[in-house]
Amino acid sequence: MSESTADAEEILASVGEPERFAVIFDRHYAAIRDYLGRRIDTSRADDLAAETFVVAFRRRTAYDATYASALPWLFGIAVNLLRRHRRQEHRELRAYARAASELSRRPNESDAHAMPADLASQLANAVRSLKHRDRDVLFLYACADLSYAEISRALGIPVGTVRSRLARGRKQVRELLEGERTRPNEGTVYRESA
Amino acid sequence: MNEIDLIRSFRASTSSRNGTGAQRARTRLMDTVDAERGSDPHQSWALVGSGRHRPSRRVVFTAAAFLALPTGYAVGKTTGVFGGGTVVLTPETATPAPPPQSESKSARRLPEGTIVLTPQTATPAPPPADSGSARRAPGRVIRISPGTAKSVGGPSKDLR
Repeated sequence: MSESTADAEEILASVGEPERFAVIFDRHYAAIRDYLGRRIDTSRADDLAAETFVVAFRRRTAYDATYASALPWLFGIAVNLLRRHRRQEHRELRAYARAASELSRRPNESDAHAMPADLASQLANAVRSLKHRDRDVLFLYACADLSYAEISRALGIPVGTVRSRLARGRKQVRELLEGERTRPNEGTVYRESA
Repeated sequence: MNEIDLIRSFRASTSSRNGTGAQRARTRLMDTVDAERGSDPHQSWALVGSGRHRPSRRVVFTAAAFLALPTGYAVGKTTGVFGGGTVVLTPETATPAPPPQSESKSARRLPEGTIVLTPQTATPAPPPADSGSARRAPGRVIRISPGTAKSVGGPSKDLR
């Protein structure tokens, strides 16, 4: 029996034995925290990851046990909680881009193992320019390794919409980065996300 | 490296699992689990305030306080977390409160059936300026005009 099959069983069992929900936490906390940590600052990511599991626990009676893996469900809750912090995320991306840009002018201080600072700055600006809906899908696909079907389930949208949002997000990031590379000395004006 | 690979490595250093955060998150979940599971009247219940301005506020009650609530009240119906850890529970069927009298205090303006809980760990309230502040006494459960309360009795699933 796979671990994902056991997710549904553990959640069902936790209705009568609440402590069994801890298994879901132990299995999936790292993935949820990792995802949130890429979207928002460390302390908020910690808070939201914790809140994700409390909300999930309270909603466990509504869990659809036909889905073996609880991970998309948990990501759906996390993304919903993250929506309250869109402005904060936006501000952080702007600050991150600015800081990375500053760091790129001091190459000796850059971390050799990290993404080049100038690229990190461009990427932060590109991510910031995405509509939040496209950003949600792009990060779930890239960082959470969810399939189209799982993203569809997490966000409660059709698979076709997942595909179109992902394609749009990828195209926009690609074009913005390519534009930066071909115009290295020009300032780029980014559209603010809706 | 395509854009997906770039996104994958974006802010990867800040996304790593934080041991302290994980421990806190697990503790918070288990507090919630214990609050639902607990039936020992001497066991403490932990609530985490849901107010947007105090998301991390923790309020501890004994189970006995919850078991004294009438059927129909649930932790999920918490309508506010106030100073000193006081939690106000209002039934869904609450009728609108009458317009406040000029001498009324906040306790009198709460809807009928409202229940005010104050935690046992609450800081003792300052001397009351009037009778309306009695609700701030630590460890007390006070029903305000319980017109909609059906009964006061034993544990109910609604109270979990």
